[in-house]
Amino acid sequence: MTVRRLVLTSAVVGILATASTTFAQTCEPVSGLFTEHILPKDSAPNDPAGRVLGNVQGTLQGATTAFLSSLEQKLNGDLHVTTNNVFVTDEGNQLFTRGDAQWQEILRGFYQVELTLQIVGGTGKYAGATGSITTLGIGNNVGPGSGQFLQEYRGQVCTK
Amino acid sequence: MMRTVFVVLALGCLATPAAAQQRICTEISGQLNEFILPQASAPTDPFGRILGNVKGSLEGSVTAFLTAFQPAPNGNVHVTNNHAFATLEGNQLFTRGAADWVLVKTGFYQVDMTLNIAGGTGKYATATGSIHLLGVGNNIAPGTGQFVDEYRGQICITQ
Repeated sequence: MTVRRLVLTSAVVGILATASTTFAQTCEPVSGLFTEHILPKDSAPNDPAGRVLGNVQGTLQGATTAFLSSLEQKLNGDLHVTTNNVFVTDEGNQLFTRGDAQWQEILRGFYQVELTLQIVGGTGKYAGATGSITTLGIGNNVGPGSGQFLQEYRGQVCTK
Repeated sequence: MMRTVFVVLALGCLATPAAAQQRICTEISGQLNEFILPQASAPTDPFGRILGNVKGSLEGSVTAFLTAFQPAPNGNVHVTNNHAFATLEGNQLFTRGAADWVLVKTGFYQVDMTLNIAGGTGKYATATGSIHLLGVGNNIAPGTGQFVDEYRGQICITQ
């Protein structure tokens, strides 16, 4: 009786341990660079605050697009923006993020940019992904429908 | 004699801008791998938006949205679209396109698309020409699916 109980307990513990291993989260560092171009109005007429299209190098190598979900101008010329960014890697996986950025004005149309992207899932190997990515960079000649952002990114993507 | 010199100089001045404005056309080709974005990533584009990776002459990234979507009773679809390419070199290329999607089975299409070039930035600022694409659409539905296309065409720029 005691032996049977021990065997059953071991089996249950084994199953729980297996399940726990199966659903364990794995976190990987990501880093690299991206270049984003602000699209002209004709290429994103339905995005009132504009949209960017960019190329990504490094861990997330591939393409990215993003739109501003809010934009708040401060008296000193700085901007606080929230964003919705998507990455499509060369491998064919998508990564979805929501961002919050401070654009510090250097001179008119030129900004120092600090952006934090919270990962909210993806497709393929990024399905259910969490984590965050911080970017540091600059915005050059930024205006409605034109300009460019050059950014370095670093963060962690966690997947199950 | 002096009159002849003036005429020759004048002709020379006229010929220089004409040569500077020469139109150069280049053949381009490669592949596109486009992913339909989920609704949350393009909430204001009524027919959705794609984001893709480009290989070949226009190596870089591409995004596009549909400007019209006309399904036929046989399951085929005619669409018009608006593409923007951003090359790794940092140039943008803008196009207006029309495509026929021939239904293979539910959610799967054979795609034949023509993109008319409508300018760009950088070296494509004066671009004209057209690009023809042939490919497939896999698992196509609102907010999901993928297009894999091969492209071939000609870009003309002023130099």
